[in-house]
Amino acid sequence: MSGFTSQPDQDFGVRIHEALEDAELRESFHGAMTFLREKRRSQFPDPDALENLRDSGAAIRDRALAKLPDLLEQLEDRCRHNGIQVHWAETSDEANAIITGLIQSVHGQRIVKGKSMATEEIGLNTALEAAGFTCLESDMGEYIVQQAGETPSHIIMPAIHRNKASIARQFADQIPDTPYTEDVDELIGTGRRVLRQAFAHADVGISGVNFAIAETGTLCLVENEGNGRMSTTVPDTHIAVMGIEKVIEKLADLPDLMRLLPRSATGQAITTYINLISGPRRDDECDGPRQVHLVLVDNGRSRIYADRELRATLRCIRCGACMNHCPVYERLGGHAYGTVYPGPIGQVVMPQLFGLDKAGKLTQACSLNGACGEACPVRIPLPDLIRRLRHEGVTDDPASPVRGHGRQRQASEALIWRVWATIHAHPRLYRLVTRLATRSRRLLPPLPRAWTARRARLEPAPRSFHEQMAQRRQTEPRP
Amino acid sequence: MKSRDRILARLRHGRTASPAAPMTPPESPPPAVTQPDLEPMIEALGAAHAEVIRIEESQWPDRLAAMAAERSWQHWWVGRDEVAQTWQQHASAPQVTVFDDWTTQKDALFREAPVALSLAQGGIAETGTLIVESRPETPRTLSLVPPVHVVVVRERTVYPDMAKALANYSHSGLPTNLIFISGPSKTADIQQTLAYGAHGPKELIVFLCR
Ligand code: SF4
Repeated sequence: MSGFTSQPDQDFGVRIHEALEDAELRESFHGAMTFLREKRRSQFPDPDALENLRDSGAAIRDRALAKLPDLLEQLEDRCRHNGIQVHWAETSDEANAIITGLIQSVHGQRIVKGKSMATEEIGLNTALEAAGFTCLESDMGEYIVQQAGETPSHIIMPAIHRNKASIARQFADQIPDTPYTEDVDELIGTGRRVLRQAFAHADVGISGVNFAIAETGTLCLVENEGNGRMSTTVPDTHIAVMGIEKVIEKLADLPDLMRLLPRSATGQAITTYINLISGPRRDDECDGPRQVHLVLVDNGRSRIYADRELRATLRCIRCGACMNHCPVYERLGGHAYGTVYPGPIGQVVMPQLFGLDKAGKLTQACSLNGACGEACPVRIPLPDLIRRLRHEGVTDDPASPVRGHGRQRQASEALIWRVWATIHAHPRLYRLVTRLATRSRRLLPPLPRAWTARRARLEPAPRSFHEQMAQRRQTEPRP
Repeated sequence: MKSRDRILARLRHGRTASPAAPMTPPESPPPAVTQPDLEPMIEALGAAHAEVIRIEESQWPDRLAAMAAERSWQHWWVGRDEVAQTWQQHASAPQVTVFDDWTTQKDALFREAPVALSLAQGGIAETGTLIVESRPETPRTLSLVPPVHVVVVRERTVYPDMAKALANYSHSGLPTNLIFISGPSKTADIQQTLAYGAHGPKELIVFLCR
């Protein structure tokens, strides 16, 4: 089970159980997460410097969000000036229609795509197929996953759930003239051979954007493989797709973000390529795309933006560190979530995009241990946001800003909490209840099986804490 | 224009309805390096699997000729920059293709260009990075498609860090494509095992010239 769904809550429990019982999958994720955490740690030897850098990263993204509408206008203006055509899409459907229209307008036939989460989010590949186009994923991990008919399980390392033996089998089965080998260099060589053919003949290249710089009208793409450079350089038409939150104010904001992104993502000091695109090929240049388009996608972001606290969600630079540090993600893997963005950031983004009625249960797959919040390079308070969304899921406040709010509310649970609150607000009542509970502890009704299936039965102590303290005060004189 | 205006209106409305206090940036920004120290650059490039040769500027052609003989690099793809001209005139009489016409040369570039030679406009010491600009005399794909890329970079064009390098472009304006290259192309997408030459060059050889 590895498809994205627009109803992540449906069968979430089933997917969790399947994931937990898959020993191979758990081993893949455990190995990969340990590796990535170690690598990140080794890149930040000085904790003070790290905290300082995180302050800076958070402030840069926060400033960009504070000026978001103005920066988007500036970006549009500078891009146009540079010859980049800008398009705006409110929804996934609109974005897909714009992209399909652009491909048709240049009579595109062979389409390659560099790694991009925004295009996964809007379901571009499916939309293009429906319009009669095939779009080849060119990031090695994405290529493997696409060929297998799967979806990515991690936002940085899409094929992290797969081991080399299964990839070796896939390549031998699906690519002509490819013998079975588990040699990783050879496997990558095979991918290189196939994808080079595709690059050489592609007429449209689609990519994501890591940051767009408003001051200069520049698109910044960060990668190690070179597939992003191929997709944005070789085809005659380049279409870049980005969420509206990814704009930053100035070129000078980039260095600190570049110190944070690759280190947090893969534990590298820098990626092999940082690709800054500020326009199509000029007349005196030999190569590069003749047309560059930028599609700005809202898809629910402006709604997230409207809440002061939830706005922090939009600071995300999609590094994946939160999932690498999440003990739940490590055990479940990315597919169990059923969403484009899995792990902590997914638990915060998806319920806001789809609505709490469709994705609210995701927020329960969290022990609130706080590791994600400590790892986040731009200090998104992920645990606070998860808690906030849990609250919005059960609130009866009609003014809640989150779609599908209150849909996780259960009358019995609400009643239990009301009683709990009353008891705790009245000391006398509290003592009376604890007294009763301790005296009748053997008579209390059994806890639901959901609790006791994997945990010991809970039973009140023979005497309440208050009583025990009172007794101790009598028997042990104060020092 | 409708979607654009609706998105912007929603953002403006959200900002006014739910204003947030701005975050204060850290008081002590990371210490700025002033003097580029080339040791970290050489170290970082080496760690990223690039081969770095520190040399007098007049010496690189002879050295490259020796390497070419050793590694049987016979056919060179170049642009129209200074190093291309120097190399074409070298005594070893290398076989050179000047790459300046995309339409007619693209297929050959993908099929049979084994080694590219070009000049980088600068470097970044801290991260071991080469700064490569798209220019009329330097096609973008020269640093991307051939499996081996030989780069000449001058020490005096090396900046201490990325902030300094970018500050320069804030003043002068950016080229249509500015590329920072910090090693040969690589991937760890199969079971976290590092492999070089995913899509771009498998080998990167840097002549760091005095
Ligand atoms: S929420 Fe933070 S840690 Fe998670 S992907 Fe976004 S930036 Fe990275």
